[in-house]
Amino acid sequence: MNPFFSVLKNNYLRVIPRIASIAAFTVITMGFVIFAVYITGTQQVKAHIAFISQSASIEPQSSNALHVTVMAEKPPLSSLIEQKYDAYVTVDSDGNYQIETLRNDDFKNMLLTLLSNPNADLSGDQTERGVGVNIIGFMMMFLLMITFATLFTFADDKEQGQLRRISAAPASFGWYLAAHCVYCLSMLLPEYLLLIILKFCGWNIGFSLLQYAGLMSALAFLGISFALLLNTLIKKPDNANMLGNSVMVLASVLSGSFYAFSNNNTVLDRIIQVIPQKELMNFAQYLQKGTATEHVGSIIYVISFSLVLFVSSCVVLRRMYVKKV
Amino acid sequence: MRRFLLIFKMDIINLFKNPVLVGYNTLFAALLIFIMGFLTGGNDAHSKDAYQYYVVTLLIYGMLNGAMTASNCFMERDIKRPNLRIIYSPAGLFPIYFSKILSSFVFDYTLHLLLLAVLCPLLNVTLGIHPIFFVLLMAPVEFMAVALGILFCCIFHSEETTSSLLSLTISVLCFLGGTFFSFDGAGGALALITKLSPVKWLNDAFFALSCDNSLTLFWPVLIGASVISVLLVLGCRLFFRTEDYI
Repeated sequence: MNPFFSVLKNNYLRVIPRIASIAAFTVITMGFVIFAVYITGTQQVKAHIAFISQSASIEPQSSNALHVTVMAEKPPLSSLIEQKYDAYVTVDSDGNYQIETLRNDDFKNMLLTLLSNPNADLSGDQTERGVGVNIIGFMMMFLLMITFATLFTFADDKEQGQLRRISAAPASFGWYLAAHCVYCLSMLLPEYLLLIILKFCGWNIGFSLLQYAGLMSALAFLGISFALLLNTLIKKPDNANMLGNSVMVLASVLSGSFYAFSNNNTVLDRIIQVIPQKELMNFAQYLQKGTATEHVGSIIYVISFSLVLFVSSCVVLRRMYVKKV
Repeated sequence: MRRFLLIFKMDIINLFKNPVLVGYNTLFAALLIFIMGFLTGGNDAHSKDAYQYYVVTLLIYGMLNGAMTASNCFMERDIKRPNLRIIYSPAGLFPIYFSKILSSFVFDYTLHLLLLAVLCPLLNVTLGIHPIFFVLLMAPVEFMAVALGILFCCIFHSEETTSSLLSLTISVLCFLGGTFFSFDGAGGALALITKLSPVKWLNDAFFALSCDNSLTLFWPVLIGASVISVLLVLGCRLFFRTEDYI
């Protein structure tokens, strides 16, 4: 039999004992997809405030953008730090609002506008993320972790010396790696299936199924190449796994997959631009706006980044095994 | 006792010799705090407030992730076999898992205290008027997490299953509990889910200590975590059967 199919079959058989952990990952990822669909549909509240007054005098009105809780006593400082409330508002003797907040002046000004006119239109100052971008962003970290978790087959092969035997056998190394890639990709099918189901149940999932297939396979390719490289360079699979997951979590959070940051630091922004996950998020955003064709460079960057990782791990593997034997 | 100490010493040395574990509990945690604080600090008047939030929440994340340190210390592929040869020695069963619990606890607690000692003055973060309460409350939480990791190892007999199951559960609970982003202000179903996450209760207790100097949540969390720790150790005793490893 072609080594491709035997490796593929062998991989699936080896997954069975570990099905619990992989299934857990998959369920969580699906949960986050549904969470993304849910959260994008709800109206974003701009500010939660605690209005402190002993006498029931003038009370600001709650609205879609402003959430007011009236209380007699000021809550402790930890509520502000924990962001239970964005600000404490009191009225002084002149009838002016006194705001106590940890946020910056922009927020204070917006809050004053909202207090005087609860239905003021503030939608212009923020670029809203669509449901498709949210789904990709929320899935990103977990998809990358799943690729790491499923590539244990390769790590085991390497650690237990199977790889040396495979390299000596009349089996092509390329087919061996290809089987791992296909197997890894196929483990992401449940998430894709969920997207298909959501789509056909009439939910708005932002992108078309073909676009999702492209974005997800780009992500998976990135994860596979990174996992392959780390497992090639680091002897112990546990250490490679822990390091890889840490890097993936950091990079995904930094690239704003869960939450788009608004800091005005140019140096850091430059650094973040280098992260492939960030470029992928950018591309998803362009896709949402419909200007993907002009910004095709972003996705090319992601793919070529993964390609470099993949090729270098292939070269190292070849040096370690094929030439030595 | 001497036998226990011998095993304990070995376990401690093993832990401190593992660069990935040491790095994860110090460098990675610090890096995460720096990055998260820096990124979200843009909305705040003083960036110190963002650091205050993430030092506390990410420290709790790190403490709960002690479960992974413990499972690594107990069942890591290279350590597992030599480790379990103690079964044949006259040391008894209790020292085998309890020394793992204790050594992981000491390891994590030391590194986290070190982290706090460096980060608090550096980032201008306060642990309350009496930091001793904060430090004291950390102990049972660390112990609980570590005992949980060992219990899962006793049940599943393998590090991979334990660490993937636990790291996922802990990450999700932490995410929902507001470790990375606060969902308190989100309203609706999300605010309710946040309140249900045990991580949220821990966050509340530590924030009350550090920001308000209030001890209202100190005793419930201290006693609750201690009781759970004892239960988990008893669970280890129940599930650690030598015949599974021979």
